Amino acid sequence: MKDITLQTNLKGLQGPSGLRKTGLPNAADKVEGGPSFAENLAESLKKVNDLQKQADVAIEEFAAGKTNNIHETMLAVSKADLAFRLTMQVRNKIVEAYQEVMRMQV
Amino acid sequence: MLLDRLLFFDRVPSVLTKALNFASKRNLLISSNIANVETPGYKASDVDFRSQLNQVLDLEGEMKLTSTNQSHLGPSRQALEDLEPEVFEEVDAAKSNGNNVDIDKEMGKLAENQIIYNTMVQLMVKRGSTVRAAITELPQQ
Repeated sequence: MKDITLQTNLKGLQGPSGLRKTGLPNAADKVEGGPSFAENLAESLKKVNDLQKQADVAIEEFAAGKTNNIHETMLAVSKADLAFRLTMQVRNKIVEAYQEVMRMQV
Repeated sequence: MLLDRLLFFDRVPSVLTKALNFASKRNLLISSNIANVETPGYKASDVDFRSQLNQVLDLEGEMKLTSTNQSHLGPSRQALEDLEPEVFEEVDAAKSNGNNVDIDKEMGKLAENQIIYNTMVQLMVKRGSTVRAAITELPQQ
């Protein structure tokens, strides 16, 4: 399972210099800058979508009688639901921050 | 209907609905089996909906079904919509009065069916709440 915790995402944001300072192995192979914020965002959205698809597959497999583990199905669905709700709240915060910036008097 | 296409564009909700229908039908069959445990000549009947669903969903390997129309996406959903439960009779050994209901087995099947039904309901509720969260979560003003 790929590591999609907040810590690794933040370390990726700092770029290769951030990773070298903390002494961890360099996750980004690029020479200049490392993955940008936009790429991280796109990749996170893709991961959320993948989680949703995995949950759908888990539900279908359970309905067809192929899994003997009910808890795996529930875990997959819960993970997808939580990831989706987290993304929604992140979107809300970004929109709110944008609106606050636009409200500023010049 | 447009609303159906917006909200239920994948086949998981219809899979779950069909599975719920079948599970409740199976519940009725098992209950009637248990009620008829003393009836002479009664043969226990059951419906194996999970393997029926397995055949229709075709989860393993590539999609073998070809589309007849360009606008169709993947295997036809008609096969899923038209799925009807096939009731078959158990082939257990019959007692002396022609009745072949095994009460322990029927009770076990009843409990298992109950668990499956409850799980499907929970899954449907969870999915529904995800969609509802997408609709109703508002950014703070």
